[in-house]
Amino acid sequence: MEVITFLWHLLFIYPITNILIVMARVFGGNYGVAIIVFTVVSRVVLWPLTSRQYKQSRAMQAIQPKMQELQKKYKGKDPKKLQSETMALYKEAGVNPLGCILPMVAQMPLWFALYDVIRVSLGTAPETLVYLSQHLYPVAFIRGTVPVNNNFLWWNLAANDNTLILPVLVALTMYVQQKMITPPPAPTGNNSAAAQQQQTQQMMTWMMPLIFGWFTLNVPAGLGLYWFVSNLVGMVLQYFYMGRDFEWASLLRLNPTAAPTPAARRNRPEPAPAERDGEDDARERESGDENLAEDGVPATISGSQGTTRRKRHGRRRGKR
Amino acid sequence: MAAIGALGLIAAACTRAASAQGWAPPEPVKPDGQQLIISAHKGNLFALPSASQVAVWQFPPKDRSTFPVSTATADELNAKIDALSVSDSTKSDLHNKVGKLNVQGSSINDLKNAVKASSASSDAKSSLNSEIDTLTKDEADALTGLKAFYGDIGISTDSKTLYPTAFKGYVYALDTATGHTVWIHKVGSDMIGGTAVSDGTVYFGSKGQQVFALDAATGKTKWTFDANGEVWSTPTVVDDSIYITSLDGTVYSLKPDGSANWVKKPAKAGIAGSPVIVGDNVFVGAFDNRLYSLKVSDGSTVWSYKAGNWFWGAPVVQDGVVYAANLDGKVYAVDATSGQPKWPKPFDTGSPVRSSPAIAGGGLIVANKAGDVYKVDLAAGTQVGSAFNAGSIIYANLTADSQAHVYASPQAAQLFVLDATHDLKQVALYGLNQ
Repeated sequence: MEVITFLWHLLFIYPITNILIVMARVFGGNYGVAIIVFTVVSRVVLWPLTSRQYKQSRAMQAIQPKMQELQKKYKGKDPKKLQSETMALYKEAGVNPLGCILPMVAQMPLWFALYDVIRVSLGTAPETLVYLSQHLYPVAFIRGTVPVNNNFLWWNLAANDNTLILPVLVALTMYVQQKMITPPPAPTGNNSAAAQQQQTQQMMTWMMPLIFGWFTLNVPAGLGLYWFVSNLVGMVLQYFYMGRDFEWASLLRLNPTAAPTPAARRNRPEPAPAERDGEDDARERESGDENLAEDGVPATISGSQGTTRRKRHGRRRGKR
Repeated sequence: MAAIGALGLIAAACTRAASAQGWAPPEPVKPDGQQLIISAHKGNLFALPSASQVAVWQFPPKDRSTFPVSTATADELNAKIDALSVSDSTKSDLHNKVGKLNVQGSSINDLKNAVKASSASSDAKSSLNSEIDTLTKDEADALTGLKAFYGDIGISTDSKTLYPTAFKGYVYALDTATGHTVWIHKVGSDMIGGTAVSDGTVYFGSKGQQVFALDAATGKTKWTFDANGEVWSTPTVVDDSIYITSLDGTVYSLKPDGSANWVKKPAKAGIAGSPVIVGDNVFVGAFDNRLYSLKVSDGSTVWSYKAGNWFWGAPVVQDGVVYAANLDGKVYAVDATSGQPKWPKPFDTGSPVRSSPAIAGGGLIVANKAGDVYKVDLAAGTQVGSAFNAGSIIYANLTADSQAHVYASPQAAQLFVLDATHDLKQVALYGLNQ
């Protein structure tokens, strides 16, 4: 355990502490600007991981109907077959079951580290300065910067933000980001498990912002600033990742209607060239009918129709 | 997953928080001939007698309903009562009730009811009762959630009044014998530095970048001085000049009227330590790893000496040698005139030293973060006898009395009294969880 703690501090806490203090010095002793720059840079550097997570998440959602079919077909009857078919489905769709989790797990050390670093670097208790004295690199440029200025705009970054501005900003940006990441629900028909899963997902879309808003109230404003900027950068990156056809109006709907986002559609396996014409035709039809979602599935589609639609995708994959 | 992460963050907050604990140094004091040691632990002060383990008083009090309001508040209320248009006997009755007025509890209503029953005008009664509510509430607030005491506790020349500073942003005048408040001053920002008392004035600096001078008897502000940065140090008053430092690296010499003799910024980093004035020099350590000697006359730098880490605790000067402990864990002895090292090599304690050392029993006593207390030979810089381990971190400055007793207050709720006459020997140990 001691080795882990030692490595944790050596590889994460001390370097990030020193980097942030250098940045604060470079930006005129302003720790708020240092947090913003560090957040932007770290989000951009970690983007390959984040985008991979999004892709995997989308791909996993795209094959859910197929998974449900397999479960219906084999569950309780032939577990071995179910397993092998599931694995085959994963392979076919290019899905790694751990692909959704691993990139996020890989980013979590940064969260934890930054949390510690902000609290230590901005700590109001003099004891935190004694701690810092032992962990700053022996460079006059760094050591001479401490203690850093805690004030940024109207916030004391070391204290809780009682103005509620940051908690609200964090909650709002997280909501938008969640909305951009989470595709509108696919039709579930009579499948109650899938419907429940979607309900949970939709609930998370507004629960997470509330939870993080509440956290922001209870942690130093510096960390709230990190979350806010991180969400903001996430939104921008996500916007470009999704293409610019994100339906902004969907932000106003807590329970959006069934319609995969363009990005979700993009993550589906490409149809064979011969079939593209047919799909394009379908898109043309959609444009003339407001009641239809983008992939031609009516917003209030029945279960059987939805299944039919997904089956067609399955056939396409089979052809390839 | 994000929820798990967020919960992890909160868990980390619970386990890794470096909360304010305080490191006010213990102060031996003798009001009315009785020896007391004033020792702090977190947000409490204890007055410990030499013959017993039980504190004579604890501040803030455990029970505010039996703790009298400050003398200043009582005086203010008595003055208002004197101004009422009521009979002398009513005034006398109200004065009696003010004499029994506590910070909380039924005594407040007793006084207010007596005011209501008086023959004064309804406006005057309402105004006085509202004043009673405000003043008692303010005093209750000033006794609640103090968190920590960091600063040196100023003591009046007759030892009858103590002037501690609470991290929460209050300065108190306490009766040394009883621990009752004479006055309470709300600073308006956190307080880390302590107080110095001279000629009926209490001096201190605040995190709010101000230096204050208060009337020691009444707590009324005489003047304030705007510093260039947060003030974390305790002022030193010598020959009618007040010397203090600020976290932007500035040293100030102020006149008793609050104007500046000089303001100089010798250091390229913060100064949190208190200045020590001996002869024509001001000695102060800084966060740029340097110990400075400045001229008392104009603040210009005479010499600086570089160490391995920050200097925080104030240096000690004796017989032309400056002894300064450093957060690199070493103690340096430097010639006060030339700035040249006096020992063949610094004394290495092996753990960061934040506290100021003390001189006792002919040696330099120094305590470190590991809780080790060493006695070091003043001339040779070598260890005398074996180290004493207090069992937990020592950040508080060491204090010594004329009997070669050294008072060490570790972060745990304890106070050690060590005899430094020969080897370091434990004389007494007090528990502060009373």
